[in-house]
Amino acid sequence: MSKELYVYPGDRLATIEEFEGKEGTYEDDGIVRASITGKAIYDIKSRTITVIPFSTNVNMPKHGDIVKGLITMATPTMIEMRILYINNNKEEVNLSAIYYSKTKKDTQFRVGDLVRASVTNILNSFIHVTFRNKRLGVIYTRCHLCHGKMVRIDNALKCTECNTRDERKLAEDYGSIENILPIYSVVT
Amino acid sequence: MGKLIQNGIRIDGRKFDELRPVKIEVGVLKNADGSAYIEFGNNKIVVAVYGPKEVHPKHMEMPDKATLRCRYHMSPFSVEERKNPAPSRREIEISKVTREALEPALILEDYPRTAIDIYVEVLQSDGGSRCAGITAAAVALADAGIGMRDMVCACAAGKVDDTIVLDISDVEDKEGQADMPVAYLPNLKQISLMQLDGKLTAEEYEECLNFALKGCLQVYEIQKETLQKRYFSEVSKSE
Repeated sequence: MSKELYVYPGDRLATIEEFEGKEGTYEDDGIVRASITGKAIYDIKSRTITVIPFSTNVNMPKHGDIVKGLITMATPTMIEMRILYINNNKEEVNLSAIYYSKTKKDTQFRVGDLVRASVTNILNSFIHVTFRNKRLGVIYTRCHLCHGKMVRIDNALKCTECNTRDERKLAEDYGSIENILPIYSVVT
Repeated sequence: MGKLIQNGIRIDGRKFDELRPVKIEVGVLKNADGSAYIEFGNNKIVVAVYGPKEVHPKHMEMPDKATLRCRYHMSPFSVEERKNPAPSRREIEISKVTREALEPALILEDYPRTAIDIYVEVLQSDGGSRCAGITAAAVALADAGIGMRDMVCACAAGKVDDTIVLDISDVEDKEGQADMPVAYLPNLKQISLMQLDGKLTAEEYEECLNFALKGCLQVYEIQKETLQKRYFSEVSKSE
């Protein structure tokens, strides 16, 4: 059961005792207000309010989004990636995300890898991502020595030119052409 | 210059508490993320909003919020005598006050490490252009879908021939005794900009501020009407 209403930024929607503000809302002094122009949907069952925007120019990642991008920094415990796609929509802002783990196995990446990750949260103004899923990880890379093509052999990669072997956290569809082409057009 | 107010009517035929005709259009520029065009009396202003986008130069990037940049610019043909297109002292000041008037209304913390650029281009100037620019910029920001705490509406009041009047025009600004531009966040009931050029007594100051706030609320209704026409009518048509 829900109720709909057209709202402008700053419009009072409810008090925090009545409803919880979700996307497109913010809380000010105990009052839930709209932060965008759109349609406010009051979900009476879950006691939440969401404002669906009419204008969707702003494409910022949120919890649960799948992002694709390029590794720009890799250390044994932390990696940084430049986000190129958010849910298959091209990202124009040039955002970066980080992944932090104490286990080295989770951070087997090299600078220049094309990866797919899931956004876990936006904390302290940093976008945090995770690779802990079969679908997540490296989707394409080149040999770091000769720039040759890397093919999958079990859970590792082997260069077709110089036979270099590399350990990576690979996505299950590593090397799939439909993943690579749109991203490569952005990178190159 | 003769008297600016005769028999309770101002030089342009308005009453003391009457706004000039205001017309706002939204989404006028295809290439901008958000845009608006305002006619505030004889003021004609186009505002374009770009962002959130990558920050250049990088040292302007802020790790905790978006960088808001604003450029107020008067076209060479916007005034009677050609204006040098280079940014003047006045334009730099108005760019700063416009940014500071809009900043409290924006939820910049939602877009860390990005930039939001606002370009206010005055095509025709007629006094009160900073208020008109702020009003249009708020509509353009809403059009861009950027998170806002509230809309920002702006209107000036002033003192002409010892009388407090609303929304002073170019002639009244030049020949009058005081000018007070005010930007207001109508739902949060907060003032984000207030300047005063001239001298007012304590009573006049209060009256002038009340006039300006009343004008702001009238402008806010026009802003809402504009957004309603642009978005809500489209939705009802498609539904």
